[in-house]
Amino acid sequence: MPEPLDSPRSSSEQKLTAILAQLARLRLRLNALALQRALFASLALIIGAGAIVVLAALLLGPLSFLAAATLLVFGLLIGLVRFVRDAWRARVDAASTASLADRRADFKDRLTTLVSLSQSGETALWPYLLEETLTQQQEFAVSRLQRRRVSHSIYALLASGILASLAATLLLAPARLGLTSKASIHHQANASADNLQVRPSDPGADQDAQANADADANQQTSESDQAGAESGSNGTPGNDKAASSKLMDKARDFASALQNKLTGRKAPERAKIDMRNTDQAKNRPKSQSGQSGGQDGGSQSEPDRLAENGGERGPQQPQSQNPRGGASVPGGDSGQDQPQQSKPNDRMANKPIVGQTDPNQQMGNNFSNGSSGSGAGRNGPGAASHGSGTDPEHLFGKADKPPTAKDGFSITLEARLSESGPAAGGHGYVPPKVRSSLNSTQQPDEPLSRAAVPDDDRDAIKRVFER
Amino acid sequence: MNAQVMQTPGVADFARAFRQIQNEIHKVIVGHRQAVEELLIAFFAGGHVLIEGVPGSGKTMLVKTLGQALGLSFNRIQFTVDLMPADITGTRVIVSSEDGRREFSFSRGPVFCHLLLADEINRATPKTQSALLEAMAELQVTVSGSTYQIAPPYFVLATLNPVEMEGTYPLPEAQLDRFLFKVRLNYPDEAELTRIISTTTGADEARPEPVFPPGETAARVEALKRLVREVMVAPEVERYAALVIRATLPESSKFIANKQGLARDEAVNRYVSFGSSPRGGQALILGAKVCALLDGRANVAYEDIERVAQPALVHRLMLNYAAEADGVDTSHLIERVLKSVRDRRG
Repeated sequence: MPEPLDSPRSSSEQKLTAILAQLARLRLRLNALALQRALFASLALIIGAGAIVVLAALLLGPLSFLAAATLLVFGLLIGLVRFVRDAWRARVDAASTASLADRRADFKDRLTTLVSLSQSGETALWPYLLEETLTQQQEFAVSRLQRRRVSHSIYALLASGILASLAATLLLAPARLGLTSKASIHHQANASADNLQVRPSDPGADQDAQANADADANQQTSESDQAGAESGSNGTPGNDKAASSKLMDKARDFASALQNKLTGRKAPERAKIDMRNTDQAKNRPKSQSGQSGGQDGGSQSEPDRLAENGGERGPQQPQSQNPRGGASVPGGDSGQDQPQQSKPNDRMANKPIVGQTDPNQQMGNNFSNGSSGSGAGRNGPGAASHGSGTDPEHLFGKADKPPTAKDGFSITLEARLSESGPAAGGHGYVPPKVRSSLNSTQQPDEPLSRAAVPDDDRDAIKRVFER
Repeated sequence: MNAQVMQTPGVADFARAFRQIQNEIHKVIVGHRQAVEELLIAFFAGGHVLIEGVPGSGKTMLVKTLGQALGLSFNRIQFTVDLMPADITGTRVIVSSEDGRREFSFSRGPVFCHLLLADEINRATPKTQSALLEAMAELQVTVSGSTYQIAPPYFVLATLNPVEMEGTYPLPEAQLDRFLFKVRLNYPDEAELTRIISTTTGADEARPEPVFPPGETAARVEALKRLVREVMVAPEVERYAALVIRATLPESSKFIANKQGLARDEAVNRYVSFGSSPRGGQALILGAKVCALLDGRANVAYEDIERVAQPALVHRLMLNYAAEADGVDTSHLIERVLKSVRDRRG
């Protein structure tokens, strides 16, 4: 152990200067590392976040992109604040440097004592402390205590650079890699509006589609919308839904514009959907329709028409508005083969189809549909339905071949534009008809056929029904 | 300053002398290595030591051996309930001069020595116990208006018998606080006990050799004690010692004006009725300085503070009845205090 025997004062000062200079170098490196850490980490965060935003713009839909971008911006801000704060805390002064060097070199607080007491008066053991510390100068050399010149956070910066280059690659060559956004699919499609209630299934799915419709289709759609609005205006949820929908639309527009800006895409042309109403009965003027019904179904009496509509006449269904009477079906006998062109009555046409049918009404519709489908196809309009019902006055009629039991039903079809549809001019997929055989105890699900009633029994039967 | 350095024994001299004394003591005392080291630390720090141990654990032998190793005068007082202060300090007696005249002369009591063993100090009355206070603190005795100086070095070792507490007078806190360290002598283990039996029952009696040349002992010891005072302490380390002392104070103490930075340790607040006095801080730093010199350093490190914390604080923390009921040990509380301060330092 060195003993401070006759070291001159100037020598003590030189030793102290040498020790302090070494500590100053260590301090410089530590502070540089702290600065680098903050700088590199912040840059890495910014670049990485930017790359992820670009990737999200390429790969996600507008709303998902908006959510991801918002989260990323939040994370970015928090990360930047943390990095700057950590760097500020990591910076060291002379005393902290000495303390850190003491810990790392296991120097038993010699350097802390030296730095702390360098300004105050020296004691008898001061030269000893200087000499002892200086002889172990290598123990607290900068290269030994802090080898790194460059912060580890450079790796984060490199990683974010790789991510950014990946994003750039995808951005520059999206088509080559098959990365096209949903918004870039352009279509022109023709759809038969008929009695369908046309509405987008998901507000965000085909926001760029432009629907054009002929006058009838437009009217039908607007009637449907109006009916929907009336049902929605009874309570506030409908209004709230509309307001939130508007907000969503705005957010979607904003996100979409941002996506286009980031990816350099032009705003995609709107897919065009042309709708036309193929319901020909609906296309005719109402008076003409009524007249036509009278002409075509001239043999059909008023009670018969009532029976056709379920045996009752609603106040909202004036007779003249029933287009079913003698409406001719395009396709004639092919009505069964083309059920999509079969015509439900007006009540169905003017109301939303999905899940809102009244059971009684449904029964009438079913019957009506059945007659208009197979019955009308085979026997001509009006012939299939006379004499049906429970009115005692019309209990009896000619025996008739029972109408085909074909239940009408309502179904919601969700249609989207897609690139992978059937080729132009080709046929779509037609599901096979499945008919399961009945067992011996089962009767076919068909109405009983009318039988001839003997004249003697008619009074008795009539009384039963009158009762 | 260079002249001072030349006259002052060096760090290496101190460590060498310390180890020599230690080795001489262990020629006689078997085991108790930590107790002997703490005893010597307190000696060179200029404090007094309270030794607690069961009968037969070698308390008296330890002090006697220390005196022999240092070559210093040694006295032993067996404290009893009827011991009077004058029996300790000395008294004025009538003596006949050569010309036949009779006059009062001061007869020095047993406190006038370098090493004093106050055996079973808790058996004397508080009045007699407190007679030691002036001698311990100021190295002087005042009898009948006359003050008599005690020549340094002066080192008092008081023993406490933790058993047979019937009829004893536990030392008041003020008196306990005068002792720099409290050293505990535990039962020897099997090997140590075998060696004790073997060395003390044979024909050859082990005897320590004086470390310092005869006549120079007092001066050499005083020089070493001055060297201890020269050891440097960084302000951060001093603050650390202060934090340790503050951390022993319970928040409920009504004598604390500023309660900022007090112990957050739940155990301290629950079990400690009185924490360490400022003398505890002095004990920490002085003991740490000796430890630094022993380690060949001229500066105090944080670990030196922690090394002497137990003997310096164990008799300064007054525990309450809850601690006694829960069987809480003071040493355990000191460990918690050190940990909490260490964590706060980072």
